[in-house]
Amino acid sequence: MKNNELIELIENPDFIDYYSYKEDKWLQDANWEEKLIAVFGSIENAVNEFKKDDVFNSKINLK
Amino acid sequence: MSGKGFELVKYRVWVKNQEKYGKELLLENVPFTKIYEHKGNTEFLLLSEKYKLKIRIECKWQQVAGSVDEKLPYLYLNTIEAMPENSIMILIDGLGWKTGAIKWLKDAVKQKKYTTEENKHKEILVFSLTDFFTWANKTFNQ
Repeated sequence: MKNNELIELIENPDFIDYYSYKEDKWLQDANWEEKLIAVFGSIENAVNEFKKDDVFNSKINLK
Repeated sequence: MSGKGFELVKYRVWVKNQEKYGKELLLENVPFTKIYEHKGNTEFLLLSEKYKLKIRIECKWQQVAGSVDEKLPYLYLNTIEAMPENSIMILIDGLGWKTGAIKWLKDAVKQKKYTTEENKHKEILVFSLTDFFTWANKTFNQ
Protein backbone atom coordinates (compact mmCIF):
# COMPACT_ATOMS: atom_id res chain seq x y z
CA MET A 1 0.00 0.00 0.00
CA LYS A 2 1.21 3.49 -0.82
CA ASN A 3 1.94 5.76 2.11
CA ASN A 4 -0.65 8.37 1.09
CA GLU A 5 -3.33 5.67 0.82
CA LEU A 6 -2.51 4.54 4.34
CA ILE A 7 -2.70 8.11 5.66
CA GLU A 8 -6.04 8.63 3.92
CA LEU A 9 -7.36 5.39 5.39
CA ILE A 10 -6.35 6.04 8.98
CA GLU A 11 -7.61 9.62 8.84
CA ASN A 12 -11.07 8.43 7.82
CA PRO A 13 -13.23 8.24 10.99
CA ASP A 14 -15.47 5.61 9.38
CA PHE A 15 -12.42 3.43 8.79
CA ILE A 16 -11.35 3.84 12.43
CA ASP A 17 -14.81 2.73 13.58
CA TYR A 18 -14.66 -0.21 11.18
CA TYR A 19 -11.12 -1.04 12.31
CA SER A 20 -12.21 -0.95 15.97
CA TYR A 21 -15.03 -3.39 15.18
CA LYS A 22 -12.65 -5.76 13.38
CA GLU A 23 -9.96 -5.41 16.07
CA ASP A 24 -12.50 -6.31 18.75
CA LYS A 25 -13.60 -9.39 16.77
CA TRP A 26 -9.95 -10.38 16.26
CA LEU A 27 -9.29 -10.07 20.00
CA GLN A 28 -12.28 -12.29 20.69
CA ASP A 29 -11.32 -15.00 18.21
CA ALA A 30 -7.51 -15.11 18.29
CA ASN A 31 -5.73 -17.96 20.08
CA TRP A 32 -2.75 -17.58 22.43
CA GLU A 33 -0.08 -17.93 19.77
CA GLU A 34 -1.72 -15.32 17.52
CA LYS A 35 -2.10 -12.88 20.40
CA LEU A 36 1.42 -13.32 21.74
CA ILE A 37 2.96 -12.83 18.31
CA ALA A 38 0.79 -9.75 17.61
CA VAL A 39 1.59 -8.11 20.95
CA PHE A 40 5.19 -9.22 21.59
CA GLY A 41 6.46 -10.16 18.13
CA SER A 42 7.27 -13.72 19.19
CA ILE A 43 6.62 -16.15 22.02
CA GLU A 44 10.26 -15.83 23.07
CA ASN A 45 9.84 -12.06 23.35
CA ALA A 46 6.70 -12.58 25.45
CA VAL A 47 8.70 -14.63 27.95
CA ASN A 48 11.62 -12.19 28.00
CA GLU A 49 9.49 -9.05 28.35
CA PHE A 50 7.37 -10.62 31.08
CA LYS A 51 10.55 -11.43 33.04
CA LYS A 52 12.17 -8.05 32.36
CA ASP A 53 9.17 -5.79 33.04
CA ASP A 54 7.70 -7.76 35.95
CA VAL A 55 4.94 -5.18 36.27
CA PHE A 56 2.92 -7.23 38.72
CA ASN A 57 5.87 -8.28 40.91
CA SER A 58 5.11 -11.86 39.94
CA LYS A 59 6.82 -15.00 41.04
CA ILE A 60 8.50 -15.90 37.77
CA ASN A 61 9.82 -19.39 37.40
CA LEU A 62 10.35 -19.39 33.66
CA LYS A 63 13.75 -20.67 32.51
CA MET B 1 -32.54 -19.47 13.60
CA SER B 2 -33.48 -20.30 10.01
CA GLY B 3 -34.87 -23.56 11.42
CA LYS B 4 -37.26 -21.42 13.48
CA GLY B 5 -38.55 -19.66 10.36
CA PHE B 6 -36.32 -16.61 10.39
CA GLU B 7 -34.78 -15.22 7.23
CA LEU B 8 -31.19 -14.03 7.57
CA VAL B 9 -30.65 -10.71 5.76
CA LYS B 10 -27.96 -8.05 5.98
CA TYR B 11 -29.44 -4.96 7.67
CA ARG B 12 -28.08 -2.63 5.00
CA VAL B 13 -29.76 -4.67 2.25
CA TRP B 14 -33.04 -4.96 4.16
CA VAL B 15 -33.29 -1.30 5.13
CA LYS B 16 -33.30 -0.18 1.47
CA ASN B 17 -35.97 -2.68 0.35
CA GLN B 18 -38.00 -3.59 3.41
CA GLU B 19 -41.11 -4.35 1.33
CA LYS B 20 -39.31 -7.27 -0.33
CA TYR B 21 -38.92 -9.13 2.94
CA GLY B 22 -41.22 -10.85 5.40
CA LYS B 23 -41.80 -10.03 9.04
CA GLU B 24 -39.76 -12.83 10.61
CA LEU B 25 -36.20 -11.70 10.19
CA LEU B 26 -32.74 -12.00 11.63
CA LEU B 27 -30.89 -8.93 10.41
CA GLU B 28 -27.09 -8.98 10.34
CA ASN B 29 -24.63 -6.16 11.05
CA VAL B 30 -27.04 -3.69 12.58
CA PRO B 31 -25.72 -0.17 13.15
CA PHE B 32 -26.15 2.11 16.14
CA THR B 33 -24.41 5.18 17.51
CA LYS B 34 -22.24 4.38 20.51
CA ILE B 35 -22.06 6.42 23.73
CA TYR B 36 -18.92 8.13 22.38
CA GLU B 37 -20.99 9.10 19.32
CA HIS B 38 -19.03 6.84 17.01
CA LYS B 39 -20.51 4.29 14.64
CA GLY B 40 -21.08 0.86 16.12
CA ASN B 41 -22.31 -2.41 14.75
CA THR B 42 -24.17 -5.25 16.41
CA GLU B 43 -24.22 -8.79 15.03
CA PHE B 44 -28.00 -9.28 14.86
CA LEU B 45 -31.42 -7.74 15.24
CA LEU B 46 -34.24 -10.24 15.62
CA LEU B 47 -37.57 -8.98 14.29
CA SER B 48 -40.72 -11.01 14.68
CA GLU B 49 -44.26 -9.87 14.08
CA LYS B 50 -45.55 -13.32 15.03
CA TYR B 51 -43.87 -13.35 18.44
CA LYS B 52 -43.92 -9.56 18.89
CA LEU B 53 -40.16 -9.37 19.31
CA LYS B 54 -37.54 -6.80 18.47
CA ILE B 55 -34.28 -7.83 20.10
CA ARG B 56 -30.80 -6.61 19.37
CA ILE B 57 -28.34 -9.47 19.83
CA GLU B 58 -24.76 -8.61 20.73
CA CYS B 59 -22.37 -11.57 20.62
CA LYS B 60 -19.26 -11.68 22.79
CA TRP B 61 -16.82 -14.53 22.64
CA GLN B 62 -13.42 -14.79 24.24
CA GLN B 63 -11.38 -17.73 23.07
CA VAL B 64 -8.43 -17.17 25.40
CA ALA B 65 -7.77 -14.62 28.15
CA GLY B 66 -7.17 -11.02 27.18
CA SER B 67 -8.67 -7.58 27.33
CA VAL B 68 -12.11 -8.21 25.82
CA ASP B 69 -13.68 -8.58 29.26
CA GLU B 70 -12.52 -5.09 30.16
CA LYS B 71 -14.96 -3.80 27.55
CA LEU B 72 -18.00 -5.35 29.23
CA PRO B 73 -18.83 -2.20 31.25
CA TYR B 74 -18.65 -0.22 27.98
CA LEU B 75 -20.95 -2.73 26.30
CA TYR B 76 -23.35 -2.54 29.23
CA LEU B 77 -23.47 1.27 29.11
CA ASN B 78 -24.11 1.07 25.37
CA THR B 79 -27.03 -1.29 25.93
CA ILE B 80 -28.73 1.04 28.39
CA GLU B 81 -27.79 4.38 26.85
CA ALA B 82 -27.11 3.99 23.16
CA MET B 83 -28.86 1.00 21.61
CA PRO B 84 -32.32 2.13 20.53
CA GLU B 85 -34.18 -1.14 21.16
CA ASN B 86 -35.90 -1.87 24.46
CA SER B 87 -34.73 -5.49 24.45
CA ILE B 88 -31.09 -6.39 24.10
CA MET B 89 -29.56 -9.81 24.39
CA ILE B 90 -25.88 -10.19 25.22
CA LEU B 91 -24.81 -13.61 24.08
CA ILE B 92 -21.56 -14.27 25.92
CA ASP B 93 -19.52 -17.45 25.88
CA GLY B 94 -16.03 -18.89 25.53
CA LEU B 95 -13.36 -20.09 27.93
CA GLY B 96 -11.21 -16.96 28.15
CA TRP B 97 -13.25 -14.69 30.40
CA LYS B 98 -11.53 -13.51 33.57
CA THR B 99 -13.03 -14.65 36.84
CA GLY B 100 -15.66 -12.12 37.84
CA ALA B 101 -16.24 -10.61 34.38
CA ILE B 102 -19.50 -12.34 33.47
CA LYS B 103 -20.64 -12.16 37.08
CA TRP B 104 -20.11 -8.38 37.01
CA LEU B 105 -22.18 -8.09 33.83
CA LYS B 106 -25.01 -10.24 35.18
CA ASP B 107 -25.03 -8.30 38.47
CA ALA B 108 -25.06 -4.97 36.63
CA VAL B 109 -28.07 -6.11 34.60
CA LYS B 110 -29.87 -7.53 37.64
CA GLN B 111 -29.27 -4.40 39.71
CA LYS B 112 -29.99 -2.09 36.73
CA LYS B 113 -26.69 -0.34 37.48
CA TYR B 114 -26.25 3.19 36.13
CA THR B 115 -29.77 3.31 34.70
CA THR B 116 -31.96 6.41 34.81
CA GLU B 117 -35.72 6.95 34.78
CA GLU B 118 -35.51 7.06 30.99
CA ASN B 119 -33.83 3.71 30.44
CA LYS B 120 -34.52 1.56 33.49
CA HIS B 121 -37.41 -0.13 31.64
CA LYS B 122 -35.00 -1.76 29.20
CA GLU B 123 -34.79 -5.52 29.21
CA ILE B 124 -31.21 -6.77 29.03
CA LEU B 125 -30.67 -10.51 28.75
CA VAL B 126 -27.29 -12.12 29.39
CA PHE B 127 -27.15 -15.58 27.88
CA SER B 128 -24.56 -18.28 27.30
CA LEU B 129 -24.97 -20.30 24.09
CA THR B 130 -26.79 -22.99 26.05
CA ASP B 131 -29.11 -20.39 27.63
CA PHE B 132 -29.77 -19.02 24.15
CA PHE B 133 -30.81 -22.39 22.71
CA THR B 134 -33.05 -23.02 25.71
CA TRP B 135 -34.63 -19.57 25.29
CA ALA B 136 -35.09 -20.02 21.52
CA ASN B 137 -36.69 -23.45 21.92
CA LYS B 138 -39.01 -22.16 24.62
CA THR B 139 -39.90 -18.92 22.83
CA PHE B 140 -40.40 -20.22 19.29
CA ASN B 141 -42.05 -23.54 20.05
CA GLN B 142 -45.11 -21.90 21.55
